[in-house]
Amino acid sequence: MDQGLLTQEELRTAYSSSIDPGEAARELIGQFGTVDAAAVLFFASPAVAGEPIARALVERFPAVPVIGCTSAGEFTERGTATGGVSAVVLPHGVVRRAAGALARLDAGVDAGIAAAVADVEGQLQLSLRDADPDRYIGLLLVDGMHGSEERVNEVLGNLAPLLSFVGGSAGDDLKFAKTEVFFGDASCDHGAILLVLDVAVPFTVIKTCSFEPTGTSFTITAADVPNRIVWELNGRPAAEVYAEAVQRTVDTLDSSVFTAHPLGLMIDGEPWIRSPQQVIEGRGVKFYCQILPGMDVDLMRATDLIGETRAVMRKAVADLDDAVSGAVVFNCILRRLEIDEKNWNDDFVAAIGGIRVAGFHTYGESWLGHINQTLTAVVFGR
Amino acid sequence: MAVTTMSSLSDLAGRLEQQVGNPASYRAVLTRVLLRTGVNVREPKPGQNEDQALVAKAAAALTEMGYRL
Repeated sequence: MDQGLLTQEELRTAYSSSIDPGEAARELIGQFGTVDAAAVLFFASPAVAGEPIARALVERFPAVPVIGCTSAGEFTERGTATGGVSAVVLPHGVVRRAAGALARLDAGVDAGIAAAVADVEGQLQLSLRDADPDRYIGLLLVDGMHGSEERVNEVLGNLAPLLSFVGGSAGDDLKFAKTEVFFGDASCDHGAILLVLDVAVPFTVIKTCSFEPTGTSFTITAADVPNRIVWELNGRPAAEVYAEAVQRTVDTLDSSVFTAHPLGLMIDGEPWIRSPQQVIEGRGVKFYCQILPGMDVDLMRATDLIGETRAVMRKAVADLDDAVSGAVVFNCILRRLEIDEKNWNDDFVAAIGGIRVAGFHTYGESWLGHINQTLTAVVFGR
Repeated sequence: MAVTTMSSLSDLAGRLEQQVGNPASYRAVLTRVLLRTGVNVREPKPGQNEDQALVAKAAAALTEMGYRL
């Protein structure tokens, strides 16, 4: 698509299906056209080497943050696929300035995030704690293999409780071997990328998941929080209680059941989804995110993924007075698998389309905390 | 852990709301508290509002976030 006629108030999105990183980068840059970039993001299948793409983007857009991560599928408003690269340029008409940093988490999440926040604050000459949440927003990419997302979000909340960081966990095309985050020409497989934007236009954060409470609720009575394991629901083995609730036996609990019936932490009538992953020895259930003892959660049932995605995107556009420059979107891999299974790819693209969109299918989503089976996004106005 | 003289979650919520001001930001902070502690400060279940263990847990999280209430 020729984006040469776009104004400086419109995001540039791009997609390449080439597995050659040099060719992929050339295609992305060609699709961006002429643009005064404030920040660049890319999301690459692990089938395509990410570092050469990052280097090429840095060369094309020197002196602006270039961030990225590996994915479990990529999309723009033109389509969704796996094995390729999606990318987006945030132009200066949308973002006044941007500051990014790589947080290496090997030596500890708290220290890594604190250092990255300090780096960003130094670049912006601004305390993130004091940043106006109606003007500044953060984007967050976290590696998807070390279970650090909860603490990353907590530390960000400690340092800047009013600032939203919206994002997702890097993926690796369902290999669950290694995910990477990229900042400039650096890559890291146990880290996080913070990108703080001084936004020149109105914007809104959206979060959507297609689930509703069934009326069955549980209290978490025993859990191994760091390992994301729930041992007991309502004082009994978690797998047994869950199986009874979904009218199955423990040995028939599988990914299809879990995907259809995650648990939801209800906040102001909205579910914050915690997705079961597997039954483990001892009749516990491992989840894709932490659940704390004492939490009350609801058993959820699926509603209308496409319809609700479309509705939340339309509401976001309406809230921005139908003047939208584009969006950066993070969509859970579990939603992508449902979309694939039901042949909803075109419907999903149509639901998020109508505006310029780039994003990836994630191993988890972030906004105020770590969540599952959700789509989060930042939609930028004009 | 925070030293708190608050009698209830509603007391805690009121003080936080005064300090934060902006309604959207106030709700976001309490969402953070709930996600990291399990304590629903704004809408506690019956019997939870005066539960001192829950008040202390929520207050501690808010202290970590820089709110001295």
